[in-house]
Amino acid sequence: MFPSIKGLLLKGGNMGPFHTPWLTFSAWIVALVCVIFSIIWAVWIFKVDEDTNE
Amino acid sequence: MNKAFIYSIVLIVYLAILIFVGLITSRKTKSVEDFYIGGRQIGSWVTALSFVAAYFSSVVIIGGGGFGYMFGMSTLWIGAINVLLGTTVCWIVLGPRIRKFTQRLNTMTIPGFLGKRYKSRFALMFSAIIIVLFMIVYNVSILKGMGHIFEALMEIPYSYGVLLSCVIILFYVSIGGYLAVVWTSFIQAWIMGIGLILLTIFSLKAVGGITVANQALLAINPGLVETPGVWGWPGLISYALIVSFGVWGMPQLVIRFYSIKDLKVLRIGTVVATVGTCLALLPYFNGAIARTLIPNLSTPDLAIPTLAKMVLSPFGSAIVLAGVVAAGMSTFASVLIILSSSVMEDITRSGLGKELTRDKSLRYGKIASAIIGFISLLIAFKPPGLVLTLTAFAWAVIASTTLWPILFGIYWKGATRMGCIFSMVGGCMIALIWMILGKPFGIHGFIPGIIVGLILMVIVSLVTPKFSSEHLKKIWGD
Repeated sequence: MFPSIKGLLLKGGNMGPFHTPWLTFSAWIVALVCVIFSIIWAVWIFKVDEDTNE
Repeated sequence: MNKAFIYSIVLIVYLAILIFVGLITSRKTKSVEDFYIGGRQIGSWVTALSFVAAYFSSVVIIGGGGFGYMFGMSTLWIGAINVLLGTTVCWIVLGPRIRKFTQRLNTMTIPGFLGKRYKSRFALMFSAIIIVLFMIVYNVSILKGMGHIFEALMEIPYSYGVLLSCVIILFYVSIGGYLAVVWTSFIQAWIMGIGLILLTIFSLKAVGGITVANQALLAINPGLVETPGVWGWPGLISYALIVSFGVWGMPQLVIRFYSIKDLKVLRIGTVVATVGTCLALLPYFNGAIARTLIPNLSTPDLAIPTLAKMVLSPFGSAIVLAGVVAAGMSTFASVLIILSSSVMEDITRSGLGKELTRDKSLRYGKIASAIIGFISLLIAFKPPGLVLTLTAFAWAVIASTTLWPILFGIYWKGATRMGCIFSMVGGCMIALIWMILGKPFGIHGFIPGIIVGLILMVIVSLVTPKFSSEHLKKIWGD
């Protein structure tokens, strides 16, 4: 189930979920990670000065 | 019931809603700032979803489906890079600073910001002219796409489809301005989202699930499920970059950061825009599924409309196709307001020094948007070959011109006037020449355009006079 370097780099040698090569399936993972990171950034990282609104 | 009749009913209801929004927002549009940037009073959900709607033109849905059909699942990476670079990183890197800097410099447009940041009338005029020229051809291509969609759905002639969509957009943009654009885009984003999700669910049901779809694609050609697959790295990467990183220089998207009510809007807005842009993966995914269900399409661009008609009820496919129309209309309207602001605020007022009263500015802004829309309409009735060729260049040329001056303008105090000018002209020319040469090595003109623009910006800025500390303090506020 876990990808090997060969599977990732040499196309389709190592199938991931739903019979999708890991490198192709990673596109969905990237989108999901972006959603999670945007939440982390919005809640914990992004700061606005309440006085100046900057 | 006749399918064309159902499509017509759904589209008429949808168009009536847009006209209604135009009428409501026209009452709130009282100043030039209201007309071009909504008085800087737009909230997080509307900003975020209108960004998503303006990002997805019908070209993304129809063309994305076509790419998925031709090149298979590797095209999912285009959608993923759209989410990563085109939205999440873009909102985090550009959003806060663009909002702060443009408010401090009191500018309403991208050329206006560049003119004031770099104290350069040339930068203002050059970027405004490039935007006007290439945005008009971009608009023509969007209108052309909508004309064909109306033609296919309502079984009316192409010219009637172009006329109908253009007149309705012109109506709500010229009376409601930016407020009408963002509120209609907000509604359009929901229609597009619901349509794409519906299509995906029913396509998967029709094909028997993701695993079956992948196995079927493997049987046709293993390259249709592998990455980079049948497209190859140069084409896949350069296309993904232009439609993702290119966003950073596209005025109709960057303007969203000008118009937000306050910086807190970015908090929810970034999350909503990221989730919304995840829908960008679906046209490619559905296009690849269409390859297994409808293997012999005459043209790949028919993948999404044909798939919708095949797997959904007439009412469901009408929603999907209304989403495609919505994608085109929201982008056209966003571009129209940018064109109007470039002509009136940048070229006429700032560039040529014609001072107008606030009332006249507002009135002329509305007239300008109507005239520009009318010009686009006339060209779209029978677009000459040159316009269609230039359309392919539009994103590359505009982004190569404005991307680095915007980014360095908000992050590097050492960016100089000459650095900006050389980067703009060099990036623009290289992108154009590269495309005219027929995209050597399969690489899109945007890539050499931004590489040359970056090098020129850094090197020329290092060797030319810096701005005074007073000027930088005014912009940076420290």
